[in-house]
Amino acid sequence: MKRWYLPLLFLLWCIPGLASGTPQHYFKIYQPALYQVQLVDIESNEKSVIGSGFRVSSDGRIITNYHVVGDYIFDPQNYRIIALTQDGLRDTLQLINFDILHDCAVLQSNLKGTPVLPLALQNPAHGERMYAIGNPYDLGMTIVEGNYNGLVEKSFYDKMHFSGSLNPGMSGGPAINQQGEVVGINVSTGGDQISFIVPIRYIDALLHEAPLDSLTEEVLQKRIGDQLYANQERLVKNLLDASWPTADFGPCSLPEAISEVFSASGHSKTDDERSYSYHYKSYAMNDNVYIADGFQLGDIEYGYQWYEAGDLNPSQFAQLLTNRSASLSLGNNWFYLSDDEVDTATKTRYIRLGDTPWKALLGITNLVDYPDLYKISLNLTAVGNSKESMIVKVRINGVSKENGTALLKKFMEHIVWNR
Amino acid sequence: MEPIVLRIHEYGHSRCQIQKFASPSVIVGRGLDADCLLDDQYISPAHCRITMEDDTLWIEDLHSTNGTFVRKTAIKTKQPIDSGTTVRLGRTRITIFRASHRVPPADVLETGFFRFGPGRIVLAWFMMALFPVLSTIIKVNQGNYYSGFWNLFLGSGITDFLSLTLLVVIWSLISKIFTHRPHFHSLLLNVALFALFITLLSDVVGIWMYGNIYSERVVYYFIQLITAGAIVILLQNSLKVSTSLSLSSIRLVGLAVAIVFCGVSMHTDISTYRESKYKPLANSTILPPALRLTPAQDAQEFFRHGWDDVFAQSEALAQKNREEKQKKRDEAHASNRKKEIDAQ
Repeated sequence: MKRWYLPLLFLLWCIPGLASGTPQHYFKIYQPALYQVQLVDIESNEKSVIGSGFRVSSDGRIITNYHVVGDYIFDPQNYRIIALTQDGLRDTLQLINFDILHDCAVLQSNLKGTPVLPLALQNPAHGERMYAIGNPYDLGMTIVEGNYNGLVEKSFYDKMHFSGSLNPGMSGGPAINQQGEVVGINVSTGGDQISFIVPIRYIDALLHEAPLDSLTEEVLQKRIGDQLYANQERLVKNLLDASWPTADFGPCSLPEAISEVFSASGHSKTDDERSYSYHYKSYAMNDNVYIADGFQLGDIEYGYQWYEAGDLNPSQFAQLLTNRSASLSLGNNWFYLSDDEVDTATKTRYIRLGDTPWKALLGITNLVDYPDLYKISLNLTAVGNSKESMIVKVRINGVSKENGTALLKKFMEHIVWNR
Repeated sequence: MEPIVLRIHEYGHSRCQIQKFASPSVIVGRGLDADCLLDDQYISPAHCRITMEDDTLWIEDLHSTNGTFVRKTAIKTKQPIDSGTTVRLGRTRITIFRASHRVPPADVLETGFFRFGPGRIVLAWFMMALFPVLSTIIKVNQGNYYSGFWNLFLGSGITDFLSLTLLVVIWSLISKIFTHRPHFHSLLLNVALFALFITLLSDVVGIWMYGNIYSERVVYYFIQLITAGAIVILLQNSLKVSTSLSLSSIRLVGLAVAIVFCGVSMHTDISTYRESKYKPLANSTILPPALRLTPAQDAQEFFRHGWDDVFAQSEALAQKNREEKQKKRDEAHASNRKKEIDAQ
């Protein structure tokens, strides 16, 4: 009976232990440093985008996603960025810096003081528990548990694979490890229980970078342009240095996935009524850079369409190829311009690759906001054979003149007609 | 006294009219008191007098402005003429007969390029009807891989036929409004005719210069040409107007209008072909050598010279958009400013 207090002591010991080492504890103590970040349309004074954010320094620096504040960057006059605390306090935020490639942004608030969320020094171990915090669908601050599954290997843009469920509104919120340190920020979801998180080192780098000098549209667009330019330099250099595997596809030998960040898809079709058949294979980068709604850059895609004439006579086959090779977009489209191709300068030439004649259609669009960058497309149609043909389409989104030319040149060197 | 018979061929008409006069003296002219009244602005009110005196036909010019011509010579004095002589007054030709003239009137006055009879009309409609069938056969075999004969025949052949028929009907209706203006008939017909020919020519030039139209079109145009002939015959028949190809002033006007009309459409067509991103494969090596136009270039050549101009062109397009964007931004700025001032 003398030791009746021992279990009690144990319990007393346990309570703070339970509290300080658990996510519930951190979720509770971090509450004052977690915000809902809103993009408010000045004209209507209503929120147009909601996301989450968190304070990382006692002088009021807040981190969120680029895509939460992207509309502001494109149109700083018409939007205001607001942080909403758990107690309902509102504060207007100022944009300090952003990284469009890794989808993060630093903002300055007047909400100074503690707590601040500490940044982790290294990535968690594979399989380690981690917790994403954010405000999904404006339902209130929520914590989601999941596991760290390493960096996504097949992505050119580093991101963590988190096997937990992120929902709209949680973007920009912190992902913490069991020690309560921020390992990344919530960025996107890939479906059931598959979510992506930006590693913290990009935020760390951004915090140490010089802030934007001003918030005019020109300065903001220039910053985007510079980041995109540096990105394509790195991307194209990787691809030019690599050796490209090729494989036979129908009558040609063609490049396969030219880097591990590309994935392939394909299908075949024989049309009984129309008596020709085609087989289709395409490669695309798994990721691109989100710039604005419906506007992504920084990716490359290419596809091959192998046609067999079947019963079509040469003239009918030529007509088929004419229609199928005309569109600059990758799919098996009819020959109409899509809206963004209206500003495309084009050139058609009949060229020889080795001994075989090809029809080349080159399309170049200079980007309005980023004068150093171009969208370059090349369609090649084999025109030397009336029984079968190959249409090769390559599209490079957001690349410099030199890099685009070099990449397409290398691509053309890898195309061989075998028959 | 033997009556005088006049066979009158008015300018622009394909048929003659025959008038018989019992009196021995006939005054021909534009004036209301003339015995033989003609609608020709180049004829004087009382232009000439034809008389039958002592069993002889006489003709006398009544000091007309434009003269009376017998065998291309203007007559100065009253002179005898043989039955069956043709005289020209203004733009009208009159052949003068005595009623007892035994030789049937010779077929000398019809100037029509095409002549009509029921057989020709049937032939013309047959040619028109042949058009959808032949054009469908050509389209299906030469290029159109995606629809069968009947689909195309019902979808486009019949429509082509109906639109051509509609053209004939509309053109005829327009001309009915101007029944009393044969010159206008002639003008309408000439415009239609030249427009058809020049349109065909412009397409052939398009193929020749840029090789951008499908090769089967060459054959297709031949069919169109036959159809155009059929249309002309049908038009002429319904308008009762001849279309000789002599270059009178009215036909020159028709030709000029047609050239201007077609020149504009031809220019549009050709620049569309030239700027088109979608140049078909008419000049590819799949097709017979005669139909190929551009020789294939070396790929290295394509890189060496080919791209700078395309980059420059895309930059120019982007620059235009940048300027437009800047303009819009300035305008928005100005209107915001104004709002602020108003608010104050």
